[in-house]
Amino acid sequence: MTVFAAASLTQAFTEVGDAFEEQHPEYSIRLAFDGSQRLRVQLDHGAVADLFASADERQMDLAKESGLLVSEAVAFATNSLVVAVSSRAGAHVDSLIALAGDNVKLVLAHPEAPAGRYALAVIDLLAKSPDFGPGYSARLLENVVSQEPNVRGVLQKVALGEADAGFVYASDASTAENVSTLPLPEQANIAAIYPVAVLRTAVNKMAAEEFIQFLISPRSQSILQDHGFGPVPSKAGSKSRRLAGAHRES
Amino acid sequence: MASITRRRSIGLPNTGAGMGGAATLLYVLFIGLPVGALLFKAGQQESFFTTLTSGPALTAMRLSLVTSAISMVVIVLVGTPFAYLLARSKSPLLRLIDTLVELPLVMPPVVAGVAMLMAFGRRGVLGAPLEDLGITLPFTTAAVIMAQVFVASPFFVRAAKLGFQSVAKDHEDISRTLGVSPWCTFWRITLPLAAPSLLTGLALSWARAVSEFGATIMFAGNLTGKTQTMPLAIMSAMETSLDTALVLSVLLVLGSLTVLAALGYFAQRHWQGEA
Repeated sequence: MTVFAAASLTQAFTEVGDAFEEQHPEYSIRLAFDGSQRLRVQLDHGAVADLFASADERQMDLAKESGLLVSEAVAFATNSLVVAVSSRAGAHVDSLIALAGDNVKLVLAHPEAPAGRYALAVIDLLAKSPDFGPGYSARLLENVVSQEPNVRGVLQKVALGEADAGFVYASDASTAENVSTLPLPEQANIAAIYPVAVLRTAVNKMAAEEFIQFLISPRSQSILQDHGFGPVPSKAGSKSRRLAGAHRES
Repeated sequence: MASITRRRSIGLPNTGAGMGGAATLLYVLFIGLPVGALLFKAGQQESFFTTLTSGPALTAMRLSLVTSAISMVVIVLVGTPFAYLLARSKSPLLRLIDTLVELPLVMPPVVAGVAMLMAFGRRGVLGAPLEDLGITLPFTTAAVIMAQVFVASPFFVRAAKLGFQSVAKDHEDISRTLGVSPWCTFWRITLPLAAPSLLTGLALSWARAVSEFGATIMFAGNLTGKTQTMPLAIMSAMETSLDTALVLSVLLVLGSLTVLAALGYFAQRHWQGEA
């Protein structure tokens, strides 16, 4: 079975895939990781896969609009953002306010990538908070030196020390060395919802459904949480409502 | 004897022409069809002209043109004397350096980008001391030019070397015995004779520089107006809307064809003038 999965799921899904193959030796899982928006575009243009696991509901909705899905998507994990700071910049980039300072190099994911979209939403929320003031988002965005195709590109530039800081997922932070993190206040953070769906091009739709069932099973959930993801979201939490509002505007 | 020769001369060329014709057709179709399809599908877009003249498209095109022009100046200024030395010298050291010329050709562009980060990045071998002096190279327009020079220079240096090698040293020697200085000899004898090769090399080199993507995105990053060249803009557009990407692709293809045609025209005129 081929699974197209968001870049942020790289380590977690590799482990989940191994666990699934253990339980179901008759299946073998092939994983392709990239920014969710790039995967969706590839599927639009005829790429063949069995499952699509996206880092946001927007890319999944676009996939649905293109008629790529066989059934409704199922949410299987959540995530939130965190600011990754390179070890060499840790001294002077020690707070969220410092991100808008002079001579700071920031990296974001492309605005179309879920991680990029979430980052812009978070920056917007931060600017609305009285601690940061209205000029904050403008000054912070001026510090952006690159828009990477996916969140792993952001992490890599920060880990290499080429960028001072970048917005990545909480689950990404543990995967790189030379990187420390700045937490985001809860009221300014987003709840990223990861949906998964069976694709029309799936060779064995029953097997794909089994994989989804496995994804929401306790074993898989504990693997995902070990990698820094949050649990399957409860119905209509306040955070997901805020996120839904944000993506309707975009 | 005469009849055997005649029979032979009728038989082989026909088969040869047939094979050549079939191969030509296959090649033209394989290369022509995707390009034609691109132009066709892009032309179908209703928003073709608005996208073509939009801010991001023009910004990316201008950046591509400016950076590739500067890259060409660098490559020609440094590459010409280098190629001349490679062509004339018999030193074993230069034989070794000769192999270095081809190296960027066999490196995947992304690897070239990583290598440049390792050398010129903020933690790089040369980059770290530069950083202490306040000079940062990654994520700058200069980095775009550096990436282009790295990947495109082999095309020019190779062609220039072959061009200089084809100029018989005798011509230069005669010129020297007539009292003409080495510099003047080079400028008025060697260079004009090697010019067609140089221009061809320049055209190939420019084409490679303009289409550079992997090393650019790795070393220079992706930011509109500063480092987002046409290939990067097309990639970014692909994430959002295929239609925009199609239009930008057409802009790049047509723009490049224009420049290459102009270079070809000047090369032809020059060649015919000197012949």
